Amino acid sequence: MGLNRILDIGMSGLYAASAALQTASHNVANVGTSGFSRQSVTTGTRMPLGNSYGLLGGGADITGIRRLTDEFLIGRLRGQTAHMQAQQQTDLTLQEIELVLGPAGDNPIGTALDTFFASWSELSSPPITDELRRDVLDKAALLAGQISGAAAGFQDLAVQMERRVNDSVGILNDLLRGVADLNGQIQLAEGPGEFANDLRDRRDYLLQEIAQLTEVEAVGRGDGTVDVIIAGRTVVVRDQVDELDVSHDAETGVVQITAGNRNYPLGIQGGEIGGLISSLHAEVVNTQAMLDDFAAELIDRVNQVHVQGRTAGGSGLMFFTGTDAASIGVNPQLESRPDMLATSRTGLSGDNDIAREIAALGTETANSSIQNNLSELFGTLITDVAAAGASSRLKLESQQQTLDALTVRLESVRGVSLDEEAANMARYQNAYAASAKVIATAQDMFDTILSIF
Amino acid sequence: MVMRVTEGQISRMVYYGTQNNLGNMARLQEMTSTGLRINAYADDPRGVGLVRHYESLLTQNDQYLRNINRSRTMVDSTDMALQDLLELIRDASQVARREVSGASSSWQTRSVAAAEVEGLIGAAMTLLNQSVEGSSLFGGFRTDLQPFVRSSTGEVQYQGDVNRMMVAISPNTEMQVNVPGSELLGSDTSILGGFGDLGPRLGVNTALSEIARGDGWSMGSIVYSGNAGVDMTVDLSGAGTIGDVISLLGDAGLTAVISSDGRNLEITDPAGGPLTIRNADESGTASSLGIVGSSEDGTIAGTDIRTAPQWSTNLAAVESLATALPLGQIQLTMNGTDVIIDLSGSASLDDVRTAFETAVIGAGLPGLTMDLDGAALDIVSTTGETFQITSVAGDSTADALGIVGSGQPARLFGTLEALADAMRANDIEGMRAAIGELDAIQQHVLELEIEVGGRESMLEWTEGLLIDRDTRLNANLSNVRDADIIEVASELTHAETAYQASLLVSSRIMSMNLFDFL
Repeated sequence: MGLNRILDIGMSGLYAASAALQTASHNVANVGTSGFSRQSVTTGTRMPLGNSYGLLGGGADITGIRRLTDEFLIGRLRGQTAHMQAQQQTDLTLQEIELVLGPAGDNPIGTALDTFFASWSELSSPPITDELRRDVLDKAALLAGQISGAAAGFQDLAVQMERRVNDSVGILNDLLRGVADLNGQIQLAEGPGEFANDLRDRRDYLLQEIAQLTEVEAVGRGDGTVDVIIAGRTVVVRDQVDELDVSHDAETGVVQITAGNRNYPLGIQGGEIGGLISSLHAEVVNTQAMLDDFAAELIDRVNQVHVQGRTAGGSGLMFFTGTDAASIGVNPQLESRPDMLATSRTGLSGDNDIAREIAALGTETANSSIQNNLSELFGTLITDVAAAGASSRLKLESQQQTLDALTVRLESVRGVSLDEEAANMARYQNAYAASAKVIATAQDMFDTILSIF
Repeated sequence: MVMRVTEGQISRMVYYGTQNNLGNMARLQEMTSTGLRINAYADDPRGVGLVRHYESLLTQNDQYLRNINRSRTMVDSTDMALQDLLELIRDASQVARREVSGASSSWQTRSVAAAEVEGLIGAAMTLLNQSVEGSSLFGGFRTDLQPFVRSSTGEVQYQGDVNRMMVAISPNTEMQVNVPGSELLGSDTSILGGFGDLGPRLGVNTALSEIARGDGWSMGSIVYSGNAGVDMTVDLSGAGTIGDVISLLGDAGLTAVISSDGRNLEITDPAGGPLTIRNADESGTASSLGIVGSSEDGTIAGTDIRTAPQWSTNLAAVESLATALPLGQIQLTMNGTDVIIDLSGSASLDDVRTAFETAVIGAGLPGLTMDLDGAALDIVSTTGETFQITSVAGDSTADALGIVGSGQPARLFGTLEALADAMRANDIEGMRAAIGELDAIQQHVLELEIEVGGRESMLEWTEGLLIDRDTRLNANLSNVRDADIIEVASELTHAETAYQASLLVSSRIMSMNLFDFL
């Protein structure tokens, strides 16, 4: 009791102000740290000392250091991030598809298609010469090359996307292990009423990184750890991780993610991985199928007419070989014997009915619809891809806006405000100075008393 | 509660804002650097389809123009060849006419002329064996052969076919570009040139404007001198019919009657001969009435001035049919089929035609038509097939109608060869027949040449359309595909200003905080 107690109280104030100043410095120092949530020191009054005249205050105690954040916003941000990343991935895939198909203007396949039919038209206008036959074959080889090149491009794209799924799942497993580790550390570090703020921030940051890759939920346990749930499956419990695997069915081209039991794949839809898988299965496969259908139509229709023809060398051969975009090619027999290219049903040198009919397959006439004009048919293919691209771009923009708004709101809650920290520092500096003054006053009082002796 | 504003929040908002502005600028920048409005499919999916559509149409349009240019070579060469051929036929025809009627023609000149015609045959072959880029012009689909060759016996033969080459010259338009040599072998029409004389008898009501096979008369006066030896002028200009002429001449003291066969007028001076009738002036009134002449016994039998037969002409009015009425049957042979055609129910020429044409179609044969050619009936097949008409035994109908004979297409080389042969043989009748055929073939080639000339104008006209279409398609394409540079430039300035403003404002805000003031 007495002067020592004043010293103690002064000391407690010094400690509290010092801790608050340290925390403010910590906040200021981490103003640029991503995922950092600002912290604040909470203080309380010490147990008062009972006296005959009442309870005498005993100074301040640091009761804890709080982390100011909003778990609800963080959860939403993760969800939105996963959506956005998936959409972004779809958009990127569509851009890749566009690169494979070529630009809208002077589209290589479209141009090759037009010049192919034009070369037939040229061949059909007499006199029919060997140069013109050769030209038709050259244009056909160019067209077949463009189409099979695009098919190979889609194949490459699919392979690359699978590879990226593998890479991303590897990163995801690392991140999950990181979360599990942090779970363990947090469990160790936290005592009752104590929070390992920075570790929790670090864990939130990792979870946010996971949300870039897949949809993720984090459910807190009472012990400070979180369970991580991906697409309905719990993959992290405390410090235990159930790692994810990628399986690829070479036959169907289907890529699946499994965890634990391989018979039950995870239906991941969000994040980069979800976006990769879904756009691989939808956009890439669909466009490939459209290109295959188109190539099959081209092969069938041209062949159907050409086989009706006759040449001096015999009856009409197949013009194209193959059945789809990957396998289309010009019949090698024709390549070596251009005179086997049929221009007519009679095989007479001046007859051109077959050439005219084939030319008409890619030509707009009064009674040709989109369906029976191969040029237009290809036009609908790229228009479909373009429409998907435009709608994806719109979705992406709106999702980006939502994500930005959520990020800004979260920053508003947990971010460091330098103004606030400056004001706090001034406040705690004053508090520190004041507490020091209390100690100095107590010292004076000691001196006064000691001077009596 | 007032929202907390933190450094992180501000920097994010600044980042998002400037990113947006920068993105806008990048998009506009891309438009100016590429000059294109659509740089990615997603920029305008409908535009992507339209660009493809227009580019495709442009390629097609371009190809049509190329087809027209290629076709033009063929069509122009064909046209020139036909023009030269026409010249050549005219030359042959002139040579033939000269040798038929020329005062100085003899068997010697004719044998020289025969060589001349042989030369023309050779020239015609060279013309018609022309090729373009190694393809024969006149071979039909057999562009690989010389269409006209000489057989072992020296006759010209056609070894091409009858096919027409079609070329697409615009959307929906295919044009024939060749003339198969088969069309030059002869005309498509086989004609049986009739020899009938089917003009109806003259009557008092026969209009003077119709006489002489429709040539009509020359209105005016005639002069006659009777046994008094004095020239008398009779003004016939008020006459409208044969009857009027008879009565006007009667007024002038001459007896005029229609001859018993109904072909001409007979004028008699009741005072006895001699009688002379001549034209009063250049208008030739007396000639046109066929009564110019002089006679010692005072009777002048005029020349035939019957009108031309009409379809409505009554058979009973036709003098040459007098002994054949009522009509009986004729026999038609065509495609190896013999058909007996019964014309007995006919009262007029029209009935004859109807009965004939109906019977031909009824027999399942390609259509034959009956035409009036002057005083005679012609029978025409437009399919170029040969046919024959003969009399039925004991029936004079076919002879009386003058349609016995065969219908054959007029031949080009055949006729020229026949002409040369006739000249060598000094066969004037043969030469005459050849002249007739040459005239027909000349008409036919002229028609072909006109048709080919039509194709040339069609090409010209279509080319104009396609060039217009090209301009329009390019304009459409440019509208969809190309960036409007002026608009983009102004938008770019706008975006730049916005970007600068956002940078300026954020730099002001971010550079300030409370630390500066404590």
